[in-house]
Amino acid sequence: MQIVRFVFGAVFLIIGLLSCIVGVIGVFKFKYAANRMHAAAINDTLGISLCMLGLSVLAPDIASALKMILVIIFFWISAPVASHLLCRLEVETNEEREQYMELHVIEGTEADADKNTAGAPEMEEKVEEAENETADGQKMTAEASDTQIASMDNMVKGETA
Amino acid sequence: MMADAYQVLCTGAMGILAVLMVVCLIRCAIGPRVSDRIMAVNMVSTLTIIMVGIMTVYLKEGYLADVALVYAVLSFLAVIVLCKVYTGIYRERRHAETVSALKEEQEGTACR
Amino acid sequence: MSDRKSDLPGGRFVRWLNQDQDVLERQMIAAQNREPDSDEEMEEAWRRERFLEDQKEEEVVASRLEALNERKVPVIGRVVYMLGCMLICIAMIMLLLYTVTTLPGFGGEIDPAQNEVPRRYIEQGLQETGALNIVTGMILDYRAFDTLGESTVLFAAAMVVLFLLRLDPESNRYSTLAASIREEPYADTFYEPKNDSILQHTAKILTPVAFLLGIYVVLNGHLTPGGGFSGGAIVGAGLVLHVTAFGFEDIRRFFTYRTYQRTVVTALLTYAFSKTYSFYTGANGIESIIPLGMPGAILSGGLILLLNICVGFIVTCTVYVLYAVFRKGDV
Repeated sequence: MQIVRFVFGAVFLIIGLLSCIVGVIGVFKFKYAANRMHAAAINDTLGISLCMLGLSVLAPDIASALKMILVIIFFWISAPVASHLLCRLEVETNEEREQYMELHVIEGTEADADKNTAGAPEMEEKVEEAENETADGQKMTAEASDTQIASMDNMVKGETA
Repeated sequence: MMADAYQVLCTGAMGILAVLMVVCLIRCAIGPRVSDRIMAVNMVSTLTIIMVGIMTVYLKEGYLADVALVYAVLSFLAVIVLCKVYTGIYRERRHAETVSALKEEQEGTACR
Repeated sequence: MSDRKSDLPGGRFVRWLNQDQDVLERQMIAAQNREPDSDEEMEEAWRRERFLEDQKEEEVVASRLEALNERKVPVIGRVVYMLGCMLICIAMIMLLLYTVTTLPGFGGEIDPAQNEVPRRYIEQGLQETGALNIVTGMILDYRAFDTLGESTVLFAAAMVVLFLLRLDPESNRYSTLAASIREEPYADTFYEPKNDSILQHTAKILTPVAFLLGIYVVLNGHLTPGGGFSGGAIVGAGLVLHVTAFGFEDIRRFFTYRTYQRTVVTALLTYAFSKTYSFYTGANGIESIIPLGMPGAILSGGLILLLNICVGFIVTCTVYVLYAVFRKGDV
């Protein structure tokens, strides 16, 4: 029984470590940060879940085995979100992103606004707003936010009508 | 017999993990972009969690599993906070650049 | 030269010293010239003027700093500075390494640490404190006074950071500045991505898990490794996670400066009073009414559980407040 348990755990652990090695090699093989993220995700999902499964088989008591399973569940929830935020950071801060990927911007999203402001009139308004605020204190902010809310309301109405 | 097998497995796995961690740190040092560095740090913390799990088995101490859980929480937190902070810094810098460029343009038109 | 002087941050003082200009003169003239329409408006104007003055001062300081950083230093001076730094570092490392070589071996029989104190802790700690975890028994029973000092130091550190970095919105001088720091384009968090719905849904699931884990570590402080300090740090991390996902406006619903003050002061006072009781009974040889309980049960170890909870509250609040103050300048 002991031997069966050991073999089971050891096999899982070794496969997990192999996938970790694959992930770390991938981090050096790929040429672009967003591609490297793919390799890192192998480490974060497959590697850790296989290792923790093996270790929970080998664990000294049932409580620690359950805690290790909890670590797997935690990683399944958290690792994709961490990847999402990293990817967002990468897409947003990389100025030469066009040479690595194709961007399809959906109208009305944040990225759309970014694209428009890259060299352009809307930004100018925003800048002026900001400067007015420095000069006139707080009142301008309130007005600006009011107008923003109003325009948003109009948009909503237009969509529904 | 069984204890020897456990010892060989655990020490070998920890050796492999240590090597992988050093490799990840190299990626963190040379990574050209900020996201590379954050990613490498995240990978190091993942490997650390596996290492803590192996320590649990090796020392036969159940409480070390708690440490693995806590480490999972903290590594996730580190990644999201760093991502937010760097995005904010980048946007602020870009905004400042746009403002100064616009100001220069306006001054240019005024001179003409 | 006098212009240069008046540009310095202490310029007002120098002007007053030279009797060039009364410090209050400008404000008085401004107040006289102005029709006092209403108190509020006047106050607003004063505040705005002060705000602009503050900004000017800040700009002067920033330009001086820039000039200081850009000044030309001769190459020899730089080399000497570098060599001096290296020398000091190497000397420190050598000193520390030498000290390490003279330390007694780890766990040796004739160490100075192997005296009657740890023997007593190990042999009679379980009977005297009722805590399975001998470290917790030590720090929260034998040396509880020391731990009270640690908690107070933590509280004092957070308080000093608050004194230095927090702009009180109710104070007269900084009200405009404080409001502007919290409002849109000046806020530190203005440029950060907000309302990321993926992150928010994840945080909804994971924040309670982090809280639960921290509370578990705090409550099991006398049974397993952990205790108030580590558990409090985990709960604080949960709060930071919540803030990162939902923003500072959301957390102000249940955690403000006032909450921080009340929680920490209550926890410190509870700690001090409960420990006073046990010191009093211990010193006078009176039988304590607090039962030690069955070792291994969650309700055991006398006062240790209560003290752990107090320390946990203090550490939680301090971790969160330090994060908030350094990110935003306010709680």
